[in-house]
Amino acid sequence: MSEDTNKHGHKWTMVVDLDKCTGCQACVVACHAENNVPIASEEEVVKGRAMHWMRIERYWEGEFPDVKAKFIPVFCQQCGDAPCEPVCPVYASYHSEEENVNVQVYNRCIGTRYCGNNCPYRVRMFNYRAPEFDAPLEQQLNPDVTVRGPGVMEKCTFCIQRVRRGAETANAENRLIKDGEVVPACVQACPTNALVFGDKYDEESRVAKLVPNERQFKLLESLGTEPAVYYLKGGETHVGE
Amino acid sequence: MRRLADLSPRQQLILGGAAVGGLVVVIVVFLLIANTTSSAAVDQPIAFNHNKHVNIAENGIQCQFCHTGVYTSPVAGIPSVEKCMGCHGHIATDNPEIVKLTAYWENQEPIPWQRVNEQPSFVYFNHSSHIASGVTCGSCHGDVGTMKTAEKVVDMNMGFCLDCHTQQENKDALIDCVVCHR
Repeated sequence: MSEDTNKHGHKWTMVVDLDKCTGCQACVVACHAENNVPIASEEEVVKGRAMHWMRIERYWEGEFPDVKAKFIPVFCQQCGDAPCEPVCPVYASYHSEEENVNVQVYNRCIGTRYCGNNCPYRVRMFNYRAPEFDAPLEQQLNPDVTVRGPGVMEKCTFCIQRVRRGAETANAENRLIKDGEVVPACVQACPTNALVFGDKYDEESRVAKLVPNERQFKLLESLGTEPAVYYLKGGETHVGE
Repeated sequence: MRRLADLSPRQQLILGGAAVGGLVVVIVVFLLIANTTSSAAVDQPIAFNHNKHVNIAENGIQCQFCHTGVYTSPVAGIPSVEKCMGCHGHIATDNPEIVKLTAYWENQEPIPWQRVNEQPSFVYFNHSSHIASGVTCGSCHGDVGTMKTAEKVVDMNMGFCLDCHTQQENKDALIDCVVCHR
């Protein structure tokens, strides 16, 4: 679904200011807690079966002793034209027309892993085994989010459960969702406010104002996937902006 | 009429196959019927009588008096033992079922009610948004007020949900997968 062909509903968008990201990984922890993402063991990680809906990529720049670390938080880019969607034989990788995000319908998924293999961002995670939560973690599972069984693909949903809860609250009060009313767990946890989330169709929203920025770029933009995640380039000249 | 032993092996095979096939059909039909009639009462620790509480001639208590969360929360909720005892500390205290209730209260134990209606873990359901849209309790739960023990009256499967969702004005929004699956 191309960005221009669907103008109704919402266009949930994330802006990541790389100047502000300190690589603290609070977002990663918050994501695990919010979305019932199991923690893979060391052996699993060695096999390439780590489970994270979001990761912080770390790049070193310069030569010792002038070394700098740069961080890029990477999670599902919620592509407008998502490579994961057309390859799913059972429509489990599905584009929500209303919310303009790519969602995974877990009970449809039959585990072909085509979507994960076709994703250029490598953000889709496959449940190679039944999820295990060591005590007392099983007591803190989020009841609004499915605990995915074995053989099912999963990924970041922009915390769609929070988005929907915001929509339901707004509906009940007969009004539209306010900017900043809905925040995914990662955005809520970010201590430096490097992550900003909102509806790009709302022209007054913070994301709509942040996107037309000279520092703005998208990951693997040349592929034409039309990501809904915009990054703002880091660099000393922009510190404190 | 010929005896079975008089038939050729080929005829015996055909006859046997037909008998097995017929048996399979009978079993499948039986299973289908057993699956669709779902109104089996669940064994509860206390024989709570909905009719006694709801019936206008007797007490006329509204659903949300006990299921308090139904307007504000995804779950309607089961009343606490404290709530039961609020009335039954005084009312019908010598009824054998109320004696059971009082025992739970005195032992400070919750009543292990058995679930009657259930959604699978991959389905999100919100009571409050349905109530806010004017869906009555009875649309899904049946006329619980006339039941002695609460029974499941409809199979709350995806077809049942979509039958209603597709008839709404904002059906495009209501048939989006993420409304229920997240």
